[in-house]
Amino acid sequence: MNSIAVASTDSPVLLAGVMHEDFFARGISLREHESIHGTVLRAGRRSGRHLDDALATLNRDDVRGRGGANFPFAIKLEAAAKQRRKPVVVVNAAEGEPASAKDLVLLSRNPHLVLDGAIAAARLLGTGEVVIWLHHNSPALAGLRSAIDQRAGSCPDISFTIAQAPDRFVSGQVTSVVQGLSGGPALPYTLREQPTSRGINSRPTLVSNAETYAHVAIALQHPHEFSGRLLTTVMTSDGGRTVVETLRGTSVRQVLNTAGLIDPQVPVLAGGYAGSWIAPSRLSQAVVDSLVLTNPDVRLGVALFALPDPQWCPVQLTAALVSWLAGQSAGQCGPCTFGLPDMAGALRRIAHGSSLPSDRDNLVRWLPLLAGRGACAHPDGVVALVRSTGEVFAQHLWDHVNGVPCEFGSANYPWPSIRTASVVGS
Amino acid sequence: MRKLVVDWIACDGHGLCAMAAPELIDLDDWGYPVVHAIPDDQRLLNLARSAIEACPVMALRMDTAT
Repeated sequence: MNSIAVASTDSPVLLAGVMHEDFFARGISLREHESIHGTVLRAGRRSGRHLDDALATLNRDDVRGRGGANFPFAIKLEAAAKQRRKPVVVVNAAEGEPASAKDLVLLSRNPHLVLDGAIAAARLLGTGEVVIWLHHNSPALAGLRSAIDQRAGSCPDISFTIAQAPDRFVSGQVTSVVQGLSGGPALPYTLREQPTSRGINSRPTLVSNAETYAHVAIALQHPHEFSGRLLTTVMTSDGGRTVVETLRGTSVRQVLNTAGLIDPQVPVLAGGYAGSWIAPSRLSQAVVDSLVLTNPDVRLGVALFALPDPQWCPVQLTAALVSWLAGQSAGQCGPCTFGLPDMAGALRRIAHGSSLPSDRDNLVRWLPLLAGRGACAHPDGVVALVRSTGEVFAQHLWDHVNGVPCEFGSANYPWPSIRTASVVGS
Repeated sequence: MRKLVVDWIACDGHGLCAMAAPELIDLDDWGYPVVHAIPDDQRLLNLARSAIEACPVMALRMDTAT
């Protein structure tokens, strides 16, 4: 975690005052935080007018969910506010994507900004219950506890609970959070009614990503500075990561440049391990627009850009990623439980020159069968990754399918979680 | 237009729905249903209902297609 650097494409707001690496170790104090960001929406300010004002501000600034869904926050807040029972406010900080470090950096360096947003949401909803959902082994845990202690005096109306999420990719799915906090397993369920009306133990529940609450805090406290900011993670082939604060509309090339990467010559994996490959020629037109990359239009589930080593075979790397992702299935829905491992197996055989005659046809047939047929979007992301591999590395993939010897040897990937998956072989 | 909706967590791939309504439901390589849109046709709607009733774990329902 010491290798996580921080940068910003312009003057930072979300990371204002905490760019120095010292803050990773100690986090910012409440006093320092307040000198930068001011004080949070005060207690006892729940009224229709304040809620309407806040909704108008959040709508105008287009504050959206930063966990992957990109859903307008004001719609969720309003839905929760309409409920008869008092809602629970949940900060989802279970950053399930192994390489993403944005929530970790935010919570380690300035947990107060996240708490500000959660407190403001709770007060607007007239509730005092805030739950923070965090991986049980998160390095941000101690700093978060200390930040909550510092709030005891100024927030007597709010009770904070830290709930520890299991270390699993799907723990951060919203239904996993709701089921986990209701005393069940932290696994996705089939959503019939939104958590805002029926969430934790059937109570109205506002669940949003940690960074989203930081956006809420900034938008409500100094609306002129927000203007569509977001945090992204850039990972290099050696596993080194930089969290880059940027503005919507910034090109991926500029984000990479800010992380110290000048004009990469290899395709970039955008959107996390279950993301999509983007060819180098498209990096300057590819624009980060919230959680969507436009031109090429790629759904940027996780704002992560990973640059592989030019010496790695992209088909082998994709096979390793798909193998890891297949292992992260919650094992609840048939197509994901059985289809992903079969697809990973076919890809591994193709990648390592031992493909069966049926592997190619199966892959082509399975792709449409695995998307949109589950309780959560996990398999959809894996399908998008395989499809983009076919588009960006068409010739290379074709050579593998036809048994042309690959010029690249096998590699060990110093990227989180897929190290071991890479040695599975055929 | 209506469509069949599968509760993927409940579905165990028994395959009885596809036997009841082969015109509307195929099974994938792993035995799980691939559902097709239901044209506005009384016979096919009845067929869809029989597929829903055939499911031993009540994982199928009908919804309006969007």
